[in-house]
Amino acid sequence: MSNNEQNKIIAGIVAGDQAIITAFYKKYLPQVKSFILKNSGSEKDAEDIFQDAMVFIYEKLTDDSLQLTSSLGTYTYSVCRNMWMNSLRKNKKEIQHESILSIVASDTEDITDQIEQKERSYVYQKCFLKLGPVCQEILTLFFKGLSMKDIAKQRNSTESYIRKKKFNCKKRLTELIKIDPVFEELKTDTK
Amino acid sequence: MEMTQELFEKIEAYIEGSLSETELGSFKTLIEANPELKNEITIHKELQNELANTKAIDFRKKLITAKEELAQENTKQKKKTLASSSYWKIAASIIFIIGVSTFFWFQNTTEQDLYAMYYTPYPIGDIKRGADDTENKVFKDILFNYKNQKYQETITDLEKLVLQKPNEEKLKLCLGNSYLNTDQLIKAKTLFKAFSTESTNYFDAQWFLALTYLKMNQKDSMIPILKELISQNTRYKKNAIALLKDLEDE
Repeated sequence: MSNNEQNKIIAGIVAGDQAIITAFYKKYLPQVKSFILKNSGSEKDAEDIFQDAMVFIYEKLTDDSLQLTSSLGTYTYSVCRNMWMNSLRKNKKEIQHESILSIVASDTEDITDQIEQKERSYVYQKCFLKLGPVCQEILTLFFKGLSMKDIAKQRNSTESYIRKKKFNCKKRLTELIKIDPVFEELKTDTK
Repeated sequence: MEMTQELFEKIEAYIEGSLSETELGSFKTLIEANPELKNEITIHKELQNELANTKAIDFRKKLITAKEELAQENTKQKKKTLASSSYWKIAASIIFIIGVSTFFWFQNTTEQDLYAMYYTPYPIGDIKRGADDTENKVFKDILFNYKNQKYQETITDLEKLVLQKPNEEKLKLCLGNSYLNTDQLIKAKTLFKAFSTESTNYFDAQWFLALTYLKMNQKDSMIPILKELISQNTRYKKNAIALLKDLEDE
């Protein structure tokens, strides 16, 4: 991949360009999937890890903290590999096939801690996206700091209804988080 | 400790720093005496920090779209490959499929057994009847076929009725059950997954979704649903506990 091409992809990811994101997803997921399937994982694990890695990279790209010494694709493999190895370590499973992913460790050696710090946040994001659209909208406005009165006004509703609805949505969200297997793993890990 | 609306609002006021001095004192004592509350507060604080930034959430939504597009492409590709096969290839495939499905049937015997053990059709009895005679006739046919397990015959009528009455979620459950019983598993999965968390039939749909995954031999997708049915103390709790245990024993 030429520098010019890579810059276009990076700009597209930062701008949230759906076509570029989909193309990147299509190109790089299969190799990550192959690695994870050979190492005690399922297709769902591979999708989850790949999406978390993409969010991790997106956040690094948007806050300008990513210094690439290899291609973006290679870096993505490395992040996925680190994430999956962390997960296997927690589940006390062994890495069977290091494959191509192990050759680029230098780029990602220092990110293991950063990934671990992000794990809870990824669980929160994923659980949030499991809520219905109304809950997502009310909670987004609430987390942005809007008052119940303002949210009620925006949604053409009453303050007491929004207060009740916000409670139900947040309760559902915290329950989803508590039963999430990764969240459980993280809790056990910190004990 | 029961998480009430009042307690949630107190946690929010505590995080925001808007509790009065007296309230703050007694709340701190409550936190110290209650580790569960302490954990709950940590989650609330982290949620506030994480979800205030909607950029990551929006990006994640785009990844989900990419995933769905990719899945659709794969399905189309598979259909295309099937359609372009010549006649003799189809014949050969049928023979092959019979062989393979027999093989998988033997492999999946445990899943099939478990499915048969836990599956009971959603009861159609308490669905609202139609407003006029024509609707009542259609409804009677559906009722007759569904109760007699003639699921294939009932699907077309149910699909039409669901379109006419999109808010009648019990009808959707019956349609999903009909798909499930005629091995139209993708359709069943899509339908059960579409139930909103706010729906009164959400947990019914989740239970049948879990059974759909069981039939598809997708345990990884099924287990979190069973755990949710247990933790939410639903009417499926007992069955979900037993099914989880059976899966562990496999």
